[in-house]
Amino acid sequence: MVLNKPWTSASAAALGELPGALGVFELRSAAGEINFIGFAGGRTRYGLRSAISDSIDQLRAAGDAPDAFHYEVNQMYLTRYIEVLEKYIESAGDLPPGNKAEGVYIPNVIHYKLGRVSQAPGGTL
Amino acid sequence: MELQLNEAQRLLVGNVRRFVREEIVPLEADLDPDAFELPAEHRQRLVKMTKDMGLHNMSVPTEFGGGGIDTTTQAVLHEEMSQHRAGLYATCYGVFGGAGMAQLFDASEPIKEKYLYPTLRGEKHGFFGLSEPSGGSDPARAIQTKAVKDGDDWLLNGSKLWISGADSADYGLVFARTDAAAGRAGITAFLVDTDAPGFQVRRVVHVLRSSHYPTELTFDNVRVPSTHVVGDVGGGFALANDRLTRNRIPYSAECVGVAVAAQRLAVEYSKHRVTFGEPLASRQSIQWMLVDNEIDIRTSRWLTLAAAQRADTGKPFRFETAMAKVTATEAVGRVVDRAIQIHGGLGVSKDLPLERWYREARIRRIGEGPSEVQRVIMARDLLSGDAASELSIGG
Repeated sequence: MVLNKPWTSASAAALGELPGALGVFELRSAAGEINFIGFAGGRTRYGLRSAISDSIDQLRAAGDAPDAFHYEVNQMYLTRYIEVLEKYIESAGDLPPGNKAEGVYIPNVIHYKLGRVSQAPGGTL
Repeated sequence: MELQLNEAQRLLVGNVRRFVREEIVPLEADLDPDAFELPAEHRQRLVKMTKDMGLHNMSVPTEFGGGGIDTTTQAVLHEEMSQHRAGLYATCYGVFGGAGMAQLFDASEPIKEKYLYPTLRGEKHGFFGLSEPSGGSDPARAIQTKAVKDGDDWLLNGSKLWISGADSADYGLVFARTDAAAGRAGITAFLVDTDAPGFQVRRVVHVLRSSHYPTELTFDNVRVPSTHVVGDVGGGFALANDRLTRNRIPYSAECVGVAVAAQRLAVEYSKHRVTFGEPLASRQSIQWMLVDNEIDIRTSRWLTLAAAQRADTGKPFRFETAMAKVTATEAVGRVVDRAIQIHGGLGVSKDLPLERWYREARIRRIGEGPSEVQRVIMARDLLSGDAASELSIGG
């Protein structure tokens, strides 16, 4: 866990109260493991509200249901996203499971950190 | 006196303008508004195009496989290349390559083999480690990172701040003090591998921009072989100064380009947006903003090209470069600000590139030497007589 924010249970009511602001977030499994790190960027329709809800839906569809989320409102969501991923990799040695899915944007610097030196960022930004 | 592009320059400008409008701008419709890199398939395709155009690594001499393009042509091309949302700090998302760590052009062959050639091929990345927590504008005095001789090696201890690209770099050009009493002559440049024990990227520094975000570095007894000294021991300041001075020309040209793009948006919007039954363009307050934008743009362009031409003709160009840097970086802030004002609420939304330009333009007045330092450079040359000949026409 990198974000120093309280965890909230991933209930429909809680998701509905999320702000429409830009920022970064982490999702946690019932076992207490981080299973996804994401960001709400400038193209998200409802900021953190839709970014977190959509990510939870995608992980549930993949059979890796998140139990809770926490987030940080941050206008510099891309550099903070990189920093949170870097700190996670420092402790875990790899990406969170949900971030390995096809289509998830992983910045080039993270490929470098993982030893997959690349000028080829994956996923859709 | 008339400033005209020659035939070759006109062709290059036309090619780059088409490239930006047809290849880069359409991609940005789907990218995050703060994006600083392209998806792999687009990047590979576009790099191939810039290579086919002969414009990849355009400032690198042809003997090293670059474009070998003169400074004036580079300036007009950078004005074109920056006319998109990411144009200030991720110009065309890097598909035109870069300067390729020019400080290594005169290095020994083993150093070129290990660092320069892989960098030019895009296989390795280097960072430029000059600024420190103690300051970046006066490196001769502010550099506190020390390098002490230890047998055939040097031991580096200290820290660096505001260093872009260090967390994805394979090596860095690091400036350290090798003689505490020698002032400018006491700074030396070292090539430091980022996997060397004792080197650490301490943190990402979050600022107004996402691209080229800065980092803080620490050096704890980092061992560097003597063969990794770049230039002469004590010659680091001149090396850094030359790089900073040259870089200010494309840096200024990119500001002009973004100002042109902002002005284009403002002119179009003011002609179509109707308020109180009349288009905005019919209001004198709007007309004056557009005219002031144009004055800022043309003044910046002329000063930038004047500096570039002096560089190309072998004349001293430090004074002119400093003047272009101050003028263009301050002008782009004003132009984008006026363009936002003309657009109203839309101007500050992420639907348009103006808000990103506004944030990033603010950094331009600080990066590569703040406006105040440029004025110090100019005042020094003016008062010492080095720039006196420019006080009269034809001097």
